[in-house]
Amino acid sequence: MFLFLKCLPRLFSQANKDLKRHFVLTFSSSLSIAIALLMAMVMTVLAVNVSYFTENIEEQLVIQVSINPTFQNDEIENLQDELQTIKNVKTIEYSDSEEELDKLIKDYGETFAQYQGEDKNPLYDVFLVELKDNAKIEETTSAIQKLDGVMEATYGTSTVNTMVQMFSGLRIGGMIFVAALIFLAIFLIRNTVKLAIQVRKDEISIMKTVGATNWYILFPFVLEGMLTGFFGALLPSLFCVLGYTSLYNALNGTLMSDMFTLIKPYPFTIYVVLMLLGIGILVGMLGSYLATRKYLRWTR
Amino acid sequence: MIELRNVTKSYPNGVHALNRISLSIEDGEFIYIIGPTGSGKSTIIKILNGEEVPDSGTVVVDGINVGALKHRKVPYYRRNIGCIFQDYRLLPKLTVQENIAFALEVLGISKKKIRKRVTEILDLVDLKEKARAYPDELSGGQQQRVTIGRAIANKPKLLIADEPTGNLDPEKSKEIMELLEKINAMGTTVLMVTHDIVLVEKFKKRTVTLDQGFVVKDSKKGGYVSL
Ligand SMILES: Nc1ncnc2c1ncn2[C@@H]1O[C@H](COP(=O)(O)OP(=O)(O)OP(=O)(O)O)[C@@H](O)[C@H]1O
Ligand SMILES: [Mg+2]
Repeated sequence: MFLFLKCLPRLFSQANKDLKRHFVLTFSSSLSIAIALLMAMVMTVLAVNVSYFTENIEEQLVIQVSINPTFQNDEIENLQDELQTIKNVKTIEYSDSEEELDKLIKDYGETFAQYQGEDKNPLYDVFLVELKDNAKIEETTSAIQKLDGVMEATYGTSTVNTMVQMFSGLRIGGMIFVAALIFLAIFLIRNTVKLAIQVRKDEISIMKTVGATNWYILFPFVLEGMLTGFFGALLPSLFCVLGYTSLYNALNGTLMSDMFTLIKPYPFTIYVVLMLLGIGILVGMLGSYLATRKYLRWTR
Repeated sequence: MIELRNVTKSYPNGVHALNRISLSIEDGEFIYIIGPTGSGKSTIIKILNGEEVPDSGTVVVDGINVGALKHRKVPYYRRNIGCIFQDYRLLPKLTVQENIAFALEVLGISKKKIRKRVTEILDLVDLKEKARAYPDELSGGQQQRVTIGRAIANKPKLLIADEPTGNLDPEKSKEIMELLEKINAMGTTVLMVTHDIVLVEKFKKRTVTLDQGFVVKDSKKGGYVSL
């Protein structure tokens, strides 16, 4: 251990020298890793935002229970009690047809204002039902449908549903893609380090004859791999901070509608950057470990 | 110092490089190993420095069973033996003194001690004026002296040399031999593989002759003609 500490400066300068010596090699592999990590970064940012959307949407998921307009107040109260007994129901809110119309006008514009007025309003009085478990929304909806006095029970339409499903597919696809890219980066580093070992073959054999331990010989390569990974992570990190922030500002924080609120760049991008640097270093370590493992095991 | 008992080694391609070699070498001895090409001389060297493991038989160097050595331990074992080769194997981008210091740096020795030892060695191998020269600025004999200096930098008990004079003219070979004798006189056991019959005749030492992996002759008196 003591020897290790004493040798550390020498080993670092060795790794540094190596980096300079095959600068082109290191640079190109750093660049390839940068590209891989860049794609991984974009996918991650996308996936995280998509899952954020999904959360938002799910939060907004309510069942709209339209009440038979001939129902009187006490009947409506009865219905509310009945709804309350359904297991999955969390909250029930009453909203009469005028309130509903106001919301419609607010969300979709003044064109709906023409329906204002005592007899023109085509909307029903509704209960807005929030659920404990959104995944069971279909079952609960059909249960509500069967109650007496319910004209119709709908939730945000099927588009929302397919969207949620699509998003989760996108998220999983993104994860797989990112994993594949990370494997690619490991592979790239492994090859770079293998080449570096090849380049220094003579020196290594001399080190062996004078009795250098394997870790002493290989440590600079591992360091080199880690540095390569680290450099590779810098570019995507920069892109992430600058790119995402300016995208966020340009879009005013939302995509198309309020439903798709983007995650605030700070501290989100910081986390992504830390993740990228971590992955870069880890990938470098793993890649150089794989490159040196065979060497360690078979050469005496 | 060295005890080979029934050492057999064949390579994966089926070549039997060594066949039941038994050899015993005392502390402080100077010994030649000669024989035609392919007779297994370099294989003995590789077994002695731990690079190859014998198929059967035991190799004991300075009380250490080399064949049974764990991978992890081989480097530490190797610090007790110096190695010289026909091609000098110097690092071209380092100067003479840096090349010698390199062998010590690898072992984690302090800078101050390294500097002191390098000066001693440059003195011993008579290369003080060339301390800052690069290998390609030196003659073959001088390069080989640097290699010898590097090999003995850590004061090994055993020096093994695989045809150290293979690339040198007789004059330079004599220089190298004298240097090796000097090192031997300081107490280091020297084992030298060679093709050079003239040298073997001139500097008479114990001579072991190999042929096709067998020891065919072990002459304590030395000299080639006695075969
Ligand atoms: N790494 C190897 N793989 C396979 N065969 C080998 C290997 N090294 C040596 N041999 C074979 O083993 C036999 C002995 O080789 P070795 O190098 O010990 O001979 P040598 O006496 O040193 O010869 P030379 O005088 O030419 O240096 C030869 O037939 C050679 O072809
Ligand atoms: Mg040979």
